[in-house]
Amino acid sequence: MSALALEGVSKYFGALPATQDVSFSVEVGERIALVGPNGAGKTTLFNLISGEIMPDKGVIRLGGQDVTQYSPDRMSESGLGRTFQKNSLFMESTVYENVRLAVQRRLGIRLKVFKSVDRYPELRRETEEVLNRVHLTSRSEMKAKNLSYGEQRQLELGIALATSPKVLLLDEPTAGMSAKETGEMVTMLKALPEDLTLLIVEHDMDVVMALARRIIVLNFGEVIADGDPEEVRRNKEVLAAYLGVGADEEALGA
Amino acid sequence: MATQAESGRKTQSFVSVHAGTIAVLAGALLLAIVPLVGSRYYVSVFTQILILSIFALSLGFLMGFPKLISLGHAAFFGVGAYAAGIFATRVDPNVVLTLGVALALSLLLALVIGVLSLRSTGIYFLMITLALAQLVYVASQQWESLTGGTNGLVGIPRPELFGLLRFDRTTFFYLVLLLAVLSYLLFRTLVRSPFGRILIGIGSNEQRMRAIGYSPRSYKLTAFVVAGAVAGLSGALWAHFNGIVTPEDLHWSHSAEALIMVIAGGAGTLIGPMLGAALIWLLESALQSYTDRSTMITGIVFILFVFFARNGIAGIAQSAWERVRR
Repeated sequence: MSALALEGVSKYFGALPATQDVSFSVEVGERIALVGPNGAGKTTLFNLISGEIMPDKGVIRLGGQDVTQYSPDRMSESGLGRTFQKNSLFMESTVYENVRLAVQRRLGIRLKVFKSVDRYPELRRETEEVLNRVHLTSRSEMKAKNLSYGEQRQLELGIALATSPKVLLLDEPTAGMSAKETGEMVTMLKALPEDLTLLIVEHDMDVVMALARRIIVLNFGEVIADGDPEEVRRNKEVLAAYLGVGADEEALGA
Repeated sequence: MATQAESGRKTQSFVSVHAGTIAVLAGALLLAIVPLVGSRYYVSVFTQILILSIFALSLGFLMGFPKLISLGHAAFFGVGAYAAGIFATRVDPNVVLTLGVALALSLLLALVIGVLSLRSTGIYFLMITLALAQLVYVASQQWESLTGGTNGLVGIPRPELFGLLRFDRTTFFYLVLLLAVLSYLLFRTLVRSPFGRILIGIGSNEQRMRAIGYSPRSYKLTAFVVAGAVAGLSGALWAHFNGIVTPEDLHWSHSAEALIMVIAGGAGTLIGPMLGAALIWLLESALQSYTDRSTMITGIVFILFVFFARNGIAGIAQSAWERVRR
């Protein structure tokens, strides 16, 4: 059974097709990069999968289950995690509190009103474990707004991981990072458990090649190529989309 | 790995973690000697301030944590006041029952208004709470057989306790003081609980809360209902104190006054709104004996806070405390 499957998913903003008849299926533990020029519909596709917007046509399945009409919170409960292209953190809270909120949801510690939140040892243990995975242990008592940009991206990932998703959507995890920060992020992503299914939107081809063995190319909301990096690199349509018709194939791989 | 986070938390001293509770308990002890040393006048003054501080506290909880800015909070205060007043007049002035009825009815009203208004956010939420609360205000004027119409509900008897005690000015003051401390402890417990942390998350970033699996509306509704019930409790105390309830008690301007109390005191804290209630009440009643323009002066003070002390009295106190410690 596939971890995630899209069947003929379309979304129109007015007359403009943002996503057109997109179909693909992702196996458990697969790591897929979603690439395409600006405005190709990558983030829209993420928003469709995560339930932020509803498709006009098509079916989305998570672990075989039809989740097309699910709201974002139900998607999260069903095992889908996501990060945002623009950091979406709890800026006035500490790093620890940011992650703890997500852990709280996973452990079902919600309508508890009598005991202080500090008195849940399992909450502390799990939160610290996640902080360790995203290399933020030493920053745990800092407010999110006082982190460096790269650290904020790490926290963005940490919050998503803390819900223990089965499928994780990463929207440009290294956008705006320095080379060093990018390297650290790639290391972190490579260390993720093997059964975690990853879908990554990324512009940095080095990151794409380091993480994904399958690439899906979108252009004008349509899938124009889907295959391993070598296949995609040779694809005429892809070359045309990126560089204009007849461009030299060397250019894309660089 | 764990040590960093733990040691970070341990360095927060007992005093800084419990600063609010210590301040509230110290304040309560100080206030407790007012009837022993002060005149009857001061007992009345502090009774009114404490009642309004419960009201402001309940709104401050909504504004400071889930960041729900309501302009209809007086509806709960007023319904609590009418409920207690009518029950005491017609059925039984037992304070446990009058407060219980007030709590139950304002809770119910908060549930209805909450369900209707929490579909919207931001300014739309504010406008809907305002509109619904004004409906309740109009109802209180029109339903004369029950409320006494624009003349108000008069002749509310002093409350008593199972025939053991008929409250006088002093004992009623102690009752109000006790309930103010309990209200503070209730909200403080809520804010520190896992539920409270979710409310803070919702106030800070609702989109992300949804993305990690929370459905914000049910949490907001729960907070709204608790705050409405406590506002109703303060209204009931107000009715007993004054012996009269009028529609003005649930007019929208009363909601706005509570909002000013919260902002002047410091939204985002619990002690701030209580202090704000004291400041605004003292300002208005002190000025009223000298000038007709007390409302204008209160307005100016409010503007000064917004411009120069965003975090209100609590914020000023906090930065002063930090300067002293350094």
